Amino acid sequence: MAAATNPVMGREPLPDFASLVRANQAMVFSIALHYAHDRSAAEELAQDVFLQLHRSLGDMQSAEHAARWLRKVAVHRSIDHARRSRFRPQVGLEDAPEPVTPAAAGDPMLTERLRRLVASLPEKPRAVMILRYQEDLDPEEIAATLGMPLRTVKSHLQRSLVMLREKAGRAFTPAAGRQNLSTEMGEVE
Amino acid sequence: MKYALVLFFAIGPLLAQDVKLPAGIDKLAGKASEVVDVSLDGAMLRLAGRFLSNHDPDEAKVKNIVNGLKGIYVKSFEFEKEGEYAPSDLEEIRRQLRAPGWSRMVGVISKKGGENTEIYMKLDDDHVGGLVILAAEPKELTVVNIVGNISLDDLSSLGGHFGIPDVETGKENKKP
Amino acid sequence: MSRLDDALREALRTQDPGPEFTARVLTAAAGARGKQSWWQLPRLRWATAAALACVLLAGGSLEYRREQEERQGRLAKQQLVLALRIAGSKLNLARDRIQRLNAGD
Repeated sequence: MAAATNPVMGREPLPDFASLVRANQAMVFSIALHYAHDRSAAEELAQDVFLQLHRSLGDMQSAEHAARWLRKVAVHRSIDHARRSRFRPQVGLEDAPEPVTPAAAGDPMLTERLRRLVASLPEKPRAVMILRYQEDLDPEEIAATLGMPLRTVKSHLQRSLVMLREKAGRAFTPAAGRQNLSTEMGEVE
Repeated sequence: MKYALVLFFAIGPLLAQDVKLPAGIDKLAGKASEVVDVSLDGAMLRLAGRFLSNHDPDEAKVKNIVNGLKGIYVKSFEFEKEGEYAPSDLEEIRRQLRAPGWSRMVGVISKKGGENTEIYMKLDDDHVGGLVILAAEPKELTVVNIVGNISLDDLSSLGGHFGIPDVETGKENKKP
Repeated sequence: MSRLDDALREALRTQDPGPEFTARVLTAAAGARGKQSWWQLPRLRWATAAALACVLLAGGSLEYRREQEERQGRLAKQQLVLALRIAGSKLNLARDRIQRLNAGD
């Protein structure tokens, strides 16, 4: 498959569509999965995002630009999907007993609990958490992706982390969490 | 403590007077932090029914329920703080539910928790013509209007299906 | 970096949908491309453009309507499930409270 035309001279040619799909499908699918809550709906959502990329390929300037574009579109379409379906799973805490010892790295029970807690957040705070912890964006990048004021991003992060720390149980030491939170957030409103 | 007001309205399908939501209810959307607004008339219910699978037990159950319905209307508002809606917002609805044909089947009032639930049914001869549930919590108001013949048992059994925990009991029936 | 940060990164790690997904996307995209290339054939463009436009428009409209209906149907299904879920859960709430009252709680 021929590489897509890159209209900007002197830059690396834009990878072909198939390469862009392979490079970004995990990111797009995972974002969609946090909102769609079942695999087939997430795949459908992700496919729609890539077909939209396909239609807009001529506007892409680089692989990085395409990745940023995909991330933004995936988040916005996922939020729209969630708002239309208005489904947020209730977290059945009885099904995820509170850990009594500090969580070891890769604790599958804690991982699942956290995933479900994040999935129970409202759409925009959930997007902030996904962009922070799945995509490793800093708050300024999150604000640009979501079209949200920086202070709102920080507020969502702070509140969500507080909730997660409370509900995830004694796995996390509150004092250490607060210290790291203030370090991470800088000045928090 | 969260206040949630869930109003379920069922409207009789025949000559029964429709229960109309007061104009003030929609204005609550402006104050709400989260809004659910579902409006499915007969045509949309039939369309939705075509996408329900007969092979999936949960979806087959929904399909069976929908067969007898003429409409489902849900409005649910979540608020950041208490006091965003007034008790008088419900009074107009209750007034309509005092019309002939409507019976209040259940009224559970919790002064401690501030959670009130009322269930009204419209009976047409020997079958249910509609269902209204009013559930009020301090920070949430929900209105559901089910028009047509519906079985309370069938409806009750759906709480806890589709991989969704039963909100109140926390029990979840996961889809296989 | 806190343990919570680490745990969140682990919990929110990306999941790859796999090569089948890739294939489906590329197939869908190729389908869209195929229609365009057919339309761009120079001979047909001038000689039969008007007739082809009518045929394609009708076919495209039908396809578009079918896709629209499918989208609307799936959305209606989601909303239906949501509405009935809310109804069912509030019924169960009332029933639960009544049972507790009867039990003397």
